[in-house]
Amino acid sequence: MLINNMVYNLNQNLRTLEKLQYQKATGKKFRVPSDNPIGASKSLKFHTDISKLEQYKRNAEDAMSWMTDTEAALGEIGEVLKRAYELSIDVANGTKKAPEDLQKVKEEIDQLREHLIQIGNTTYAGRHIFSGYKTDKPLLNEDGSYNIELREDEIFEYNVGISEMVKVNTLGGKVFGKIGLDDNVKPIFNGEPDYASNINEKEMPYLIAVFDALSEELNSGTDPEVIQESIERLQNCHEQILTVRAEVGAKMNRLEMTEKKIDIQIENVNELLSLNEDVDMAEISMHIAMAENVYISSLMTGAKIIQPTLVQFLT
Amino acid sequence: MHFGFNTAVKGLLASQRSLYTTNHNINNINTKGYTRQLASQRATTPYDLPGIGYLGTGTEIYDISRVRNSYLDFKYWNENAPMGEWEVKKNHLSEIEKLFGEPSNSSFRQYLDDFFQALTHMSTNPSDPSYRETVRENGLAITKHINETAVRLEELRRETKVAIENNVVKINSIADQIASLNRQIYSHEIDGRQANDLRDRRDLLVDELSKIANVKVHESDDGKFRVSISGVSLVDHIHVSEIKYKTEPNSDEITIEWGNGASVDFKSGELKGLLDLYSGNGENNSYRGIPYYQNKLDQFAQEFAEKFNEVHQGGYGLNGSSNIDFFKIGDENNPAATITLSDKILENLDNIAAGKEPGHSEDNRNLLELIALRDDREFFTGGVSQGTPDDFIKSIISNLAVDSMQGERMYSSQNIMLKNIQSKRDSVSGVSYDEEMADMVRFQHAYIASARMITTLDTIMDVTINRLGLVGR
Repeated sequence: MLINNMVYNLNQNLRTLEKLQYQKATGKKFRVPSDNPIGASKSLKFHTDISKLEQYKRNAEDAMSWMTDTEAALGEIGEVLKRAYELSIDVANGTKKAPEDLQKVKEEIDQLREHLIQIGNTTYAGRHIFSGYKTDKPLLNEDGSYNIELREDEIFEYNVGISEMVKVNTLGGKVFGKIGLDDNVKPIFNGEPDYASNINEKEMPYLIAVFDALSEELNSGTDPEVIQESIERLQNCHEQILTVRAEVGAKMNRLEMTEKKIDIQIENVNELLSLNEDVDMAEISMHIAMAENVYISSLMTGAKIIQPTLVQFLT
Repeated sequence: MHFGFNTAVKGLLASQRSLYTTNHNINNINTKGYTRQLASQRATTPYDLPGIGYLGTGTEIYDISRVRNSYLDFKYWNENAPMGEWEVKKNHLSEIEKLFGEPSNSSFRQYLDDFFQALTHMSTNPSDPSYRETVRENGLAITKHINETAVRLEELRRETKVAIENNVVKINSIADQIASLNRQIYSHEIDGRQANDLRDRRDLLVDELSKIANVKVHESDDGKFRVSISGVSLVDHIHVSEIKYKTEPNSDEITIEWGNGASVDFKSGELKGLLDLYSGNGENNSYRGIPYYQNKLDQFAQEFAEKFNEVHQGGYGLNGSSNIDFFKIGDENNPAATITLSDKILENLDNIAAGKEPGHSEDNRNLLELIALRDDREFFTGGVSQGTPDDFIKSIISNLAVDSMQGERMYSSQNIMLKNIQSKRDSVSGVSYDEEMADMVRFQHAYIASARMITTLDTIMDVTINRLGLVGR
């Protein structure tokens, strides 16, 4: 009976020791949910939270690089407009009067127009950034007209938090605008340019039309009034570009903040998770030392229990 | 003169018998179920010397009995059954726990996380085939995990069934053995003497039986031994009513019946634990056994596929396809084991409906709706576990954890109780070397003393017969 009890207790102590040692080896407080049902279900949530947050962070980073590209494209358009503006001012001021000078200016304006088309078809990882949902198609045709139908609502959003979305893309229409054409397929400049309506295929971007008009004027002669009009239009366009850039910049700022927030959240959840399921190494070491002592002393008493009986002393 | 010899021989015989009993005890010190035996000694009837008094006539061994407390047996048999029940439950539940694999990197949650992560990732570039591929692969992974879990649960259930069959066979075989022992004991004890060693064997069998089922034991005054389960006798003296294991065709229900067709009512014991695990579906206060977890898993697979498909059908794939299912359930009666991706999705990645309109490669609105499902508090509505898919899984895991912990606790407290009874039993019935050795020496001395007495009487005789009356020679 004594021996039975001793073996039972030894095993019991050994089990405690094994449990503690497992905790120390894995650094986790539990290995199956029943060790700690509440802790396990909490852990479940924390792990999911972390996985979600990490994905949100990746999404935010993706959105960020998309916007950085958009920003760069917009900046480039700004540069083009600035150059066109300078050239136009030169012409208007009469600093460039000689026909060959004018011809050079016209050629540069034409080049700038080509460049604008290229910028309009900028891609990010193979996707056309200004084409709304149809990122597989370029925004503009080679002749400068719109290649695709573009609705105003073709804005896609990324998930950067629980029910927190960020609008990622900038529509081409907002940058390039739209202009009506008359029967001779000539643009009609009257009033404010249209930056905010649905665009159909083959329609003419305002920005390109401005360059076309300028180029044509330089070709046919330099009516100062027409040049002046063009200068005003260029200024208008530039303002619009600035507005869009500001918008993108603001979104990028917000994204940066979101990213930081997500980082902090990940850290917080990790800490909670660690509190929930990680063992305190110092504490566990103490416990193990204690359990070892108990085990050793039970072995010692065990050795005492299995002592000689009267049998050994009878002769 | 012969009177003294007789008395001395009686002493010799008594010491000898006591020594034999001690010998038997020592030899059986490690025999399972052995009960220490005691030779009871008493003085024989005295001889009446009229006018003087009664002269002692020596000693005799009148009985060899077991040192056993039947109350402790009763307690042991009572507590052994719950212990068996909880041991079985504890073991099986911890197996189910391992099967669900929480917390680890191969758990349900992990697969769900990965799947939704892939969806969210795809929403940032819905037209890229490599992003679509991860969604398909992770979708496939989660269905495979559900399939595997379902299959393993079914296997576990089958194992339980085999264990039930084995236990039924075991009960019947023990019952047969008890009946045959009853016959032997009864015939041995006809003269009123106890068949100690046979009784030990019978009690050991009852020990074994009491772990499998809740048994009650009754021995009538005329020595007829009866073992019953919930009031119905399994063994009545030499008659055995066997229990039968019965399955219905086209149904996986198991019933255990008596010979007359009435079902056996197990209150506790291993068999009760196994039956609970085999058929407990958690409804109407029944135990949450394996079917409970199977049903939950089925429910999860069924509803998850339905809800997900519903939203998926509303979207358009890269190739303009619409009204396409994402998941497919092969067998409506067995959703968890047969859930997989639909053929259309397996055929062509472009069929994953990311957009809300055809022909828009960057349109991710349908994906966003799919992702939002994860936080849909009304995803699961019927039944006890409601809320988001995560809530549903969490509720399964917590139920399992709590049940398993209860099993563990019940088992260990029951075990302590049983150990306690066992050690009391051992302290009464167990053989101790010291005690037996002391007895041995004691009886040896008594034997020597009796022998000495014979020598003394012999001397007296010698004097009387050989030395007296030499005067006339």
